[in-house]
Amino acid sequence: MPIIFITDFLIFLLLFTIVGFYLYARKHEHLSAPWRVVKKRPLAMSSAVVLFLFVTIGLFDSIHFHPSIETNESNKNVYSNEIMSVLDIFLDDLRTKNEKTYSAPLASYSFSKELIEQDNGIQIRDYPRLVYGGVSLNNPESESITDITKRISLGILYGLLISTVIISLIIFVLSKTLQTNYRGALQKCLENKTDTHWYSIFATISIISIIICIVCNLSQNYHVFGTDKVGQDVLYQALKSIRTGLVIGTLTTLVMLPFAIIMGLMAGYFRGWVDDVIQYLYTTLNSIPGVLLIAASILLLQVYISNHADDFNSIEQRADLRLLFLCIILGITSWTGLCRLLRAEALKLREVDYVQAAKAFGVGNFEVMFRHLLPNVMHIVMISIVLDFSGLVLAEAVLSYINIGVDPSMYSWGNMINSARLEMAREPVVWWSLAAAFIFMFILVLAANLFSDAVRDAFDPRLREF
Amino acid sequence: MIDNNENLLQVKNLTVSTGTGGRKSNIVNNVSFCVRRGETFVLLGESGSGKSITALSIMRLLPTAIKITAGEAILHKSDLFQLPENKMRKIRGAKIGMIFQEPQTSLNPVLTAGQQISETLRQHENLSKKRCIERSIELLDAVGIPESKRRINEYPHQFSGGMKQRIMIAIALAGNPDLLIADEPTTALDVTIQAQVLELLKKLQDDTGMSILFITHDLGVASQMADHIAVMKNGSIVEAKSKKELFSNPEHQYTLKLFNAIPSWEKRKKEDGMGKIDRSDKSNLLKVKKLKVYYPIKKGVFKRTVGHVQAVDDVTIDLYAGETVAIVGESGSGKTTMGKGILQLLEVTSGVVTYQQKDLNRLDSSSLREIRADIQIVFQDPYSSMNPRMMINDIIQEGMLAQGIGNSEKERDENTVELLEQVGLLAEHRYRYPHEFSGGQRQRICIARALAVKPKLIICDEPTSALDVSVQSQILTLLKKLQKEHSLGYLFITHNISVVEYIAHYVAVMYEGKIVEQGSVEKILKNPENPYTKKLLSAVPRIELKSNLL
Amino acid sequence: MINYILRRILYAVPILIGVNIITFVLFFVVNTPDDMARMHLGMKRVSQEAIIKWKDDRGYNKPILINKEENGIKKITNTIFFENSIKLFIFDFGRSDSGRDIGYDISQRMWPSLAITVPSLLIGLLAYITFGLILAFFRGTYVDISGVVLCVIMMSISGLFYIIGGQYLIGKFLHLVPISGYDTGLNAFKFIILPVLVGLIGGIGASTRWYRTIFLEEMNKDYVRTARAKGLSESSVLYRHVLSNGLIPILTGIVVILPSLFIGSLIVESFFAVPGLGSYTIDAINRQDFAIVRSMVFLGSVLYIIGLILTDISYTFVDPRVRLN
Repeated sequence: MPIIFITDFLIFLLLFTIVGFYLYARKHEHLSAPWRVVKKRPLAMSSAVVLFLFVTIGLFDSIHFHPSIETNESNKNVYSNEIMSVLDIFLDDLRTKNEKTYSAPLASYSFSKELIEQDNGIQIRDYPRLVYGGVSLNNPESESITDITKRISLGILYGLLISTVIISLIIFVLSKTLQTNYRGALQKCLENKTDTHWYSIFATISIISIIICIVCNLSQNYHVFGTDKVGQDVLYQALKSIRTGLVIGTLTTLVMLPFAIIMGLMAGYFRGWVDDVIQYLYTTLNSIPGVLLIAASILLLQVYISNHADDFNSIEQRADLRLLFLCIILGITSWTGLCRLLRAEALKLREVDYVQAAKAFGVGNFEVMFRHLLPNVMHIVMISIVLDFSGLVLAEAVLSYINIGVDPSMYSWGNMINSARLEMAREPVVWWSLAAAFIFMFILVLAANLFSDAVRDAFDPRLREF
Repeated sequence: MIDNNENLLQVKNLTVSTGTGGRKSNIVNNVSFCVRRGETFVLLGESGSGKSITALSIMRLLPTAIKITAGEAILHKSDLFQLPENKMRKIRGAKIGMIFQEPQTSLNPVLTAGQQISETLRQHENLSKKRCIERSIELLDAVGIPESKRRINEYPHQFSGGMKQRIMIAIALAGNPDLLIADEPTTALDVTIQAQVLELLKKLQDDTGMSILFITHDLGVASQMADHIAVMKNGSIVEAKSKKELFSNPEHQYTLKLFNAIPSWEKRKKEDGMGKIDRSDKSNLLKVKKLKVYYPIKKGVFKRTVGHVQAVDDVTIDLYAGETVAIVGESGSGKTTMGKGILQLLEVTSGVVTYQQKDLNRLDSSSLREIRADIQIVFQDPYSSMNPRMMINDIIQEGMLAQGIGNSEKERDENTVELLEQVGLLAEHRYRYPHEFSGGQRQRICIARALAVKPKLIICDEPTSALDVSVQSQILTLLKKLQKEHSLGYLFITHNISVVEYIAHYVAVMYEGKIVEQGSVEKILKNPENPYTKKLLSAVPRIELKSNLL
Repeated sequence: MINYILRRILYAVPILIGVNIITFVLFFVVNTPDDMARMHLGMKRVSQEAIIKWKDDRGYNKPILINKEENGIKKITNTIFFENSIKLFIFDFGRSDSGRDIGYDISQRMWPSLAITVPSLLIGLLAYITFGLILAFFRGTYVDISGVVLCVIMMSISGLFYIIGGQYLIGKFLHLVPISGYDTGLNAFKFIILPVLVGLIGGIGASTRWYRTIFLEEMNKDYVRTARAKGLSESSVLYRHVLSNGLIPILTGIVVILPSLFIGSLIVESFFAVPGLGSYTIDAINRQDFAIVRSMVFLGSVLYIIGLILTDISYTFVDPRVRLN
């Protein structure tokens, strides 16, 4: 039985808007030309593949439902109270194979000593075997290395196989669109004569397939990133955190854009008292430390939730609402930057000849703003969106640290770092939660940064002839 | 070739290209010429002819994407293109000086004039600080900047455009160069200032004996400055002669085309006949009476108005159907502000603008909107006058939609096609974007856009100033043709006297916001009374052409 | 000039009032004074008298915005909002909800914040400008490309990594400096080394790229071409012309954050247990100590506005075009 979270709904709304925008842009030269430039750059295309992967994972994680447990007498399905997502179906193994407590990556033994009763009845303190990690091995000390190596090599093989299949499919489709035969399309891709830099896309797909297959293979017998304090697989946590990071990076922008665009353009175009009011608004908002606004809003939300406890059936829904609120409040605190840029641009554009010509025709003010100003500031908006994305993902981690981020029950890299940091004093130190969170964050942010660089160069009017 | 001792610079087979492999293209193609000692050699050409690139090549200051692929440039017996960079630096500024087109941006805004001149001095000569300052003051004197002792410590923005160019010349002269390369040095200056700078260059040449390689697109300037001229087109020299020979006997087709494109009195007489130009048989369209546009100067904590900038000061002028009234003035004269004020595109401080007996200032917004169809505008810069993100079709139809012309999309489409054909473009062009067209074509589209709402009066704000001479003549011809067909009135704002000669019926001369003189075109151009008008007319560089060429 | 400053100060007043209103609304919508009293008194069951006394001590016994029981002007003045806000304008911060003198605390705690932020800024400026200049000088070569790649990578790493990693490295392996805490006087020096270093490394990526872009933009301008035409060497051009013009946007961008140096970085102070104003604010938010929060917000706003004014003034010093108008 499906259940729709607010953020799920908004995510898919955003997805459809982007698809719609893409279809619109195809018909308009000035919008599609810069994207074509982006498609030529190898680093941008590699990043795009990585981003695509993350987005897919996030989308799968955004379809939630109550799983059915059984059918009762009247042949109706009974649903558990638990909420799962489609991603959980894929990651079922990782989700359910929990240990008791910490364990290191690829380990077969738990991280802390326990009282074990041996066969001869004597109790000793030793590292117990894990329930799931290394379960197929009889003698982990000697066998694990060979087992791991075997699994890695098999993973590489599978990865190469799968990537070859995918690449061949793509080339097949390409050959149809380019109207050449298969060989011709392959040659074109390898020699970089196509519109898009397929070569780097194929290379990235291969590397990613190999890595995914290795990880899949290893995780059948081990916890690839170990387990955390309550025994949950760290890799699972990191993967589930992807959605949180994506939601914060994108929904915040969704909230912020309309304000920034409308206010910025109006302030620059109308000047006078409209400008004064808007400048007053954003100076005032900017003076208040963002931390305070966020903290207060989160507190507000908690009061609301405790007063209306019945409306929420589950922890997940409460956490989801808090996530939504966080996005809204982040949006409200971050619209001022873009607004200022757009105001400056609107001040310049209102004097440009074609705007004067439109006024000489008697075209109304709002029509002028929509038809002439807005399309000519879209490049600033586009650059701002992609630039802010990485900043927001990084900010989430920091906010969670000072307890005004996402709900602690929600999976997020910030929460992973926060809980891991508190345990850093342990000897030997538990490093794998931190590592997993940082690695995943780094990959997503790096891909976003590289992609946004290419977007910025493509859309910057000074570098083009537009 | 003449005796080698007389040649200062010999350029042989210069080829400059960009791109690599299959995408290589030549910007300058096998160009050869010589500059003799003490003479001025002019490279004449329109935009894209490669003249500036040629000049930059000699200095080896080309941008990274563009490279010299063949040729030699021999100065003092050594080939400049073969010198290592550190030796070339000794030539730059010392043996060859260069001045550029845009004085506004060519000087470092955070260094004083004195500092920038001294920089050249210290680079090439070993002078003490005191001697540097003395020499800088001498140079400022030599280029005609008054109060040089004080002004040496001033920053570039404190000088006017003409004076900035003089400072540039001083910087270039500081190293005592044998050759001065001047890349369109007066193109961005007003006509009267241009005359002063050209005179200064000639005087300096006489004093120092240096040669000048002068780049320009203006035939009048070439005629005034040159000893020898080479005409360039598409990267090659099509004709190279002494000035006298070129102007009396041009041979190449392109040169002839250039000469024919120059607007002038004679050309007009040839095209229109010798009829009298007067207003007696025309109906009155526009009456401007005592128009004032003042901008307040605000000072103090509470921003009290302490004075006004009088952009347009008490202007009175009339316009009749089917005639062209030219508003002539230099930059800052207020002519563009007046045009926008008439159109109610900016706020008018006082005065009455009457169109067909209706006071435009007093109309409410919907009546004003209706009248807007009758008065339209064509702008100067073809690159910023159209929204780069709209198709031509939409650009032309924007006015139609706003004014309710054309009852259906089909009708509007038909109108658009007709308009495009009227201005000399094709129907299929309407699905393209502005950047796909050249400057001249864009101006045609702008004219079509203005015509779309069937105006009676078009304000043309320097519509050809940004265009090449040959393109300019096409646009002027088009404007004349449209005027005849539709009985349009033009308020033609310009600073170019030759264009006025060619197209205007009535002329008003503006200076610092006021009209200092107005009258029929014959009176103003042949018998000016006001001293400013006289000064303006005398500053225009004239071409001594034989009349049989026209 | 004086006129300009006066006018900006006048504009600042409505902004500060607006800031105050927002702070008030945010705080008191979430908590009534009764809730606050209960939280601070902390006991399971608090008597009504204790609550009333707590509120009386702090002036929270009055209505929040409008006092309906009073007449005339007292309707507005005899309220929590008015009394609290007015004092702020004369910088009387009063006492915190736990009884301490806020003004005194601020004057004590701002030094640790400054001790970290000022060196970070100065050393950072020097380092980043140098790197940016070097990359611009070598533009297009391998030095430039690898430099930019390095910057992007470092930008993509979370700041937390640098902090946690730095603390771990120094704490567990190198033992060169203490990893957290603070001391007074000159002893503070060894405590600030790690935070400053971490801050520097965390900021290299973004700042170097930004400065490199500024310098490259300047290099494409006309006056640089003129300088080359004079025969100047490339390094002269860079140093005398590009740097002096590039410093204009850089310095004016720095000036706007100067006042916020007093408050320090909330995150760095928390992680490194530095008793500065940043951690002061965070603790107050966590403890819901309204008196401190409203003081810090007000102070923050004042400093921000001073920053804006300083930016405009700095233009006049750095750019002769603005100075001599």
